[in-house]
Amino acid sequence: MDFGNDLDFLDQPEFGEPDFFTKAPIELMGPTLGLDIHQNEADFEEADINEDIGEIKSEGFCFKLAPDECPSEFARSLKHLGPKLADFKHGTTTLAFEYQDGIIVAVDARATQGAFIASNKVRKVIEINEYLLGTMAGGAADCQFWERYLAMQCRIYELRNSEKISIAAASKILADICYSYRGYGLSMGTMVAGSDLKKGAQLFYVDNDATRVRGQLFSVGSGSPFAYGVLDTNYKWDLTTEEAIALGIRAISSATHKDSASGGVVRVYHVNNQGGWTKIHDQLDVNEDHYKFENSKGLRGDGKEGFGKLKL
Amino acid sequence: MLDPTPKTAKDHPEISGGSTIGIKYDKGVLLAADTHLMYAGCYWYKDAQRIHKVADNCVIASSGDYADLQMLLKKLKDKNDYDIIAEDGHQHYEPKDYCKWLANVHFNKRMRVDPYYNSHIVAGVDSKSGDKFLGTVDVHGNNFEGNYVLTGIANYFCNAILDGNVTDDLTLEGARELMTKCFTVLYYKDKSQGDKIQYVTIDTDSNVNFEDPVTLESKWDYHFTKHLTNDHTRDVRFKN
Amino acid sequence: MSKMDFHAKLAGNIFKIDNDDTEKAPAMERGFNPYVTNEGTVAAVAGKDFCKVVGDTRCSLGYTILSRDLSKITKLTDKVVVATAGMRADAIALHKVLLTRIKTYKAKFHKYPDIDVIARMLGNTLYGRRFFPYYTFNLLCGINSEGEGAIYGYDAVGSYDRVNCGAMGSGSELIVPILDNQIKDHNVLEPEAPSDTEIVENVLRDSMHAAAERDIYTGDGLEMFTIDKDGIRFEKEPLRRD
Repeated sequence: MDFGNDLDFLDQPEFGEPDFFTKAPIELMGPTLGLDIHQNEADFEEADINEDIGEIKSEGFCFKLAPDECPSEFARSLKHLGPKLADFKHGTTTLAFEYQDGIIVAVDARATQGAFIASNKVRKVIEINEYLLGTMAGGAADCQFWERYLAMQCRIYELRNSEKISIAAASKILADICYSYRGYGLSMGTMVAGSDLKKGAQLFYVDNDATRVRGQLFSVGSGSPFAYGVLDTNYKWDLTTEEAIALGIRAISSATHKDSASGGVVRVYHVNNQGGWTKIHDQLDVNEDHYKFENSKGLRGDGKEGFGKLKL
Repeated sequence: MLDPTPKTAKDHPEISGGSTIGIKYDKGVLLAADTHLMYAGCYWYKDAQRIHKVADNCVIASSGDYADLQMLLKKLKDKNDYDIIAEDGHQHYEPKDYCKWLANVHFNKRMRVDPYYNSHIVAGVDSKSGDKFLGTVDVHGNNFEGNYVLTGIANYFCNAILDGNVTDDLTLEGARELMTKCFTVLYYKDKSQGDKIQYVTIDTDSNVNFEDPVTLESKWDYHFTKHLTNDHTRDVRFKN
Repeated sequence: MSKMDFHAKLAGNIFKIDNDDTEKAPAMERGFNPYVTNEGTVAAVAGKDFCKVVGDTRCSLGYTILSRDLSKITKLTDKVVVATAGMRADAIALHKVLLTRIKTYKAKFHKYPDIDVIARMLGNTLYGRRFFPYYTFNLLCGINSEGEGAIYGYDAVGSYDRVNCGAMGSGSELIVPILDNQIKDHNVLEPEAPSDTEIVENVLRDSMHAAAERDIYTGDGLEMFTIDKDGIRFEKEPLRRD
């Protein structure tokens, strides 16, 4: 008969000893970095949910779950439980497209928490390793953590197989992670861009529903419709690298102009077909970009060009 | 086999006590609590002890769920017994440790979203250094020390009375006077507060003194309680 | 709840397309809310070879002040402190975890970890509670292995970035604009780290006084930690007590 109260810990002989409680949070609540414990394939295949303690062990980490509550339900109720608690950093425009000479990845740099601009200089391109880039949209922590984890897995693959991991495999690792955490409230929309010597530069879109799509042109985030508008109009396969970079900047600047959750600076990366990437622009102020584009069209850029000419 | 009854946690205290207050005075610590327990808005038990001795030099006063408190007291007693059974000539658990321990228990239970609905005042004297200790622990496991600490609704009513008046050279009589003032206010304003108050002192020589409960002097036949306030103002208005 | 039941419940949630979650009260809200905010404000500025951190000492619960003298800043090593606003009980637990892990690191590698190492560790610790987050907003402040001031700012689930200056907690919306204006040089892409401790100290002190003036969860006392090559210095002064 279950009496409804989980008081098992009271019966343990070490209960009440000074180190019992100081020990408990560390084991239960932090990711255990003991990778050796969970390195067999079975652990990797399926997440091991321990309901008694309320934790999930997978990928070599141990995640504390809210006890006796469906995790996705708990994640949804977080915003009711504590003010600002679920205001993880959000809001983005990111884009990437393949063209004849590789891939251009361009992102904005704004992070918002509610209506507050938490930062205008976030790094939304995550340099996974010397031939892989990931972009960050959705929950900043989710993207940062799992792409960091992806970097680790790629390195382990290299050591085991003494060859670089293919971009398809790398993106699939990320998609598999997303699949195993489906329903837990992860929020990530990421593009994995990379380059290997066999197939050249490739671009994959992976999101928190474990969608994984190979494609030529993607844009993710709240500003993506605006970016798509510019991209689809001007995109050609035969773009030169200069043109492609300019297109990336243009698309991001337009998106930041119209989408208030995007902004800050533009960062542009180029992934070449020879198995590597280069950082083209680290910080380009979108405000300056805006005026530059408008002026190049012969406009002032204040959006009121025609007002003086109106005759009623 | 699926368990048809889902595990549920208690979501509010059932039989519970009201506010408790602790004050440091020059030669010790004074604790006070009323002796009433509430159940469903009624005074259910009128002479329950809500201040308990957990060790020779440590006393706790608790507001909140009484069943949870009894559970905790059992555990505290066991803990103290281990300390005695060890017979190594040391007292391992000082009031500070009990306070931290209670906080850890509360935090642990809170992590299970099945908390002990108590907030405690832990008072005592360090057996080695002789320092006074006065700390508090709440449902979530937050704990801190202070010259005076309050639990329950006293946080709203008695901060103003005690703030600035609890000094290093406060005598026991002064402390008791302040305490009486606090509980009088609480008795007038808080429906869950009774008028039988138990004082407990623990002085720097580790003498714990549980006094018999005293009844607060209260006066209810003030003019404003006998006459409806509205009537009174109406009279004034019509007179002028 | 058995494992099968759990998965059934999980599956039910995946296939239920319900974006309008504001309508019905979530299950957790009916019972005990494990989260409570004790807020407060912490702010920090990194200089060329130093780092200054301030925090208030108020601990409130709703509209009551529980304590007027509760430090929000914990010293982790001789070069690093962590400043935490948010829920006190979670913050205490988090600091305890951090201290223990640093101790473990010391035992393993015979040296204290640098700030970038601790930053990653704190990020992982917070992310380990992704599905039951610590209700804490952290600033990790100190000097790095090159002797430069370094600050890492976090959100509740462990996304972090190195910043020149930052503020966390209930007064952060008030303080961040001041710091943007006075320290970061607004709209400058490559800001210069300030080298004058006096200016930094005054800006931080003034902004905390400003926050105490306008934010109900900030006040009572001001702690200022200065971290430089000589170690950690600590000063305390009063703030508004209303």
